[in-house]
Amino acid sequence: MTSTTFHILLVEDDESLRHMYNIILKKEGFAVDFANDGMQGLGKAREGGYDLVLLDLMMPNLDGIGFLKGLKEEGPKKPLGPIIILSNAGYDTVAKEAISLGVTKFLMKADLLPQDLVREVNSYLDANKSEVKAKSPWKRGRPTE
Amino acid sequence: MMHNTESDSLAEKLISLSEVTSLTSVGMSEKQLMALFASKLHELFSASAFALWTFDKDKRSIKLRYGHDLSEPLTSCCLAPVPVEQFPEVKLAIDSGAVWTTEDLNDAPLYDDQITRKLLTSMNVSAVMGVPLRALTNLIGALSFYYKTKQHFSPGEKALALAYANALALSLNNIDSYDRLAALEKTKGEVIHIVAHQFRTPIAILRGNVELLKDKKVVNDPETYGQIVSELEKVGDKLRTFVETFLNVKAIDEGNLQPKPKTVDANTLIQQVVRDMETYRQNHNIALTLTTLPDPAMISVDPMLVAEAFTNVVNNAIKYAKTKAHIEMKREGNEVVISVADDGVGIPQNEQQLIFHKMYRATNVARHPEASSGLGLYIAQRYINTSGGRVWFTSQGEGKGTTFYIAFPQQQ
Repeated sequence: MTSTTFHILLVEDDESLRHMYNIILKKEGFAVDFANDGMQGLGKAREGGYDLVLLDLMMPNLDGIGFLKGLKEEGPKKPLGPIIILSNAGYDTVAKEAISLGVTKFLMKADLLPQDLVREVNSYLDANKSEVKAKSPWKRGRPTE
Repeated sequence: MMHNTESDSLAEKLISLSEVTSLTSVGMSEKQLMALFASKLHELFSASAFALWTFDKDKRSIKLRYGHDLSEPLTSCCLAPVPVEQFPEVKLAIDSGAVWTTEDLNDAPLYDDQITRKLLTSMNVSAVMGVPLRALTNLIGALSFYYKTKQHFSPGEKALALAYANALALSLNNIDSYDRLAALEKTKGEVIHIVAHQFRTPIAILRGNVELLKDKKVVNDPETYGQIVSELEKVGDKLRTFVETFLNVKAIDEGNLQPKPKTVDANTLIQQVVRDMETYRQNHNIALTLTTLPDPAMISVDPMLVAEAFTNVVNNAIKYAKTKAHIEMKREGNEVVISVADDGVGIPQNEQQLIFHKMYRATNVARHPEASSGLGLYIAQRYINTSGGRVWFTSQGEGKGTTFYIAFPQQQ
């Protein structure tokens, strides 16, 4: 960890998983913000300012794919870090679609132990460190293809 | 007595027929099978065309399942069910269970029915033979052989036709059985996929929280520790419910459901269900209202099964409602009717007949985040029916909400 506090947006509708990921991430010193569904998540992501987004795929109101399409249509106001999908949907067409919409990585929830999640999150944040925001793949207004 | 030459020729034809049957194989399509049998039609019978008729559902009509060298008008007229009387050779073969030919009609007109006569005339038919089609002990339809020049049929030819029909029927039966097994195998695969998928989230919660409990920092923090233990309890309950559901479906499918009826007050039963779902309702932030009957509404049901059926229906109402759901009890005739209405996503018109099917999830909720096996309504319907009740629903379509109705005869 660096002295910078990284901000993570967790978009997950399952309350139990939200609790668990919150405990895991806070324990590591990350600042975690939540969204209970895709719509709420998209609102927060469009504001920007998160170093990393952990995104579920199957959610009410707006699912993960809808979230990603929404973000393509209208990008974040402030820089936004990479998006990692946490799903149990399997590496099927949905996963491919998510990747094509700019997702950095696809992780299977059932395979993910707390230390794995921390390692994955750190690998993105450490790699980019303070450059994360500067290297945001999501440009203001319309993101890059 | 047969002449030797005829008998020799028949023997050769029987060998030829056995060759056909030896070429049939598991997994062959119906089209391939019919083409195989049709390829021997002229050699075995000197017939110019043949038709395979199978019964429609009501058994009074027949449908053309396969035709070989039939005239176009005949083919196109009979793909939809036609009355069996329209084709006397089929009706007589089916009724008598024996081979029937136009010869047996003693020079009466070939067909009474004008339309059929016209259809057959278009093929220059001089004689017709009808052969019952029997798969094992089941009569599944009949074959019609159409001849252009032939007039007379020997008993040997009729026997050969029967052997041909039996071989064909048996092969068709095998193909059907194979297709059914293949469909079952596919369903089994889908069930395993759904079951596996349903277990993934609870497993993720279980593994993650257990791992967290290995961390001293977590254990020494009473609030976090308490939260984790409570999550583990919840996930345990969830897994238990999943397993129970699948075992219940197995019991239903195997006919092992043995209801234990008791006379109970439907008011009390539904109130209990609503109380038990309070946490679930709060989590979904749905306003749930209940109007019970002012006096006891006694019904004779297995209270455990019916409570579960109610739970499944109310659970769906809460899960899919936008803002509110309402449960109302009424008396209608000698029935106690419970309606469960929500203002949710509704059920698409073209999917409404599938809603009580096992593992079915309507397309507009297929991506709903909450784990669902597509078994809730299937189980609810079986439990309600087993207890002598009925369940149905009305939905004006997508986005217009759904109302489920459950009715039981009222006990005096």
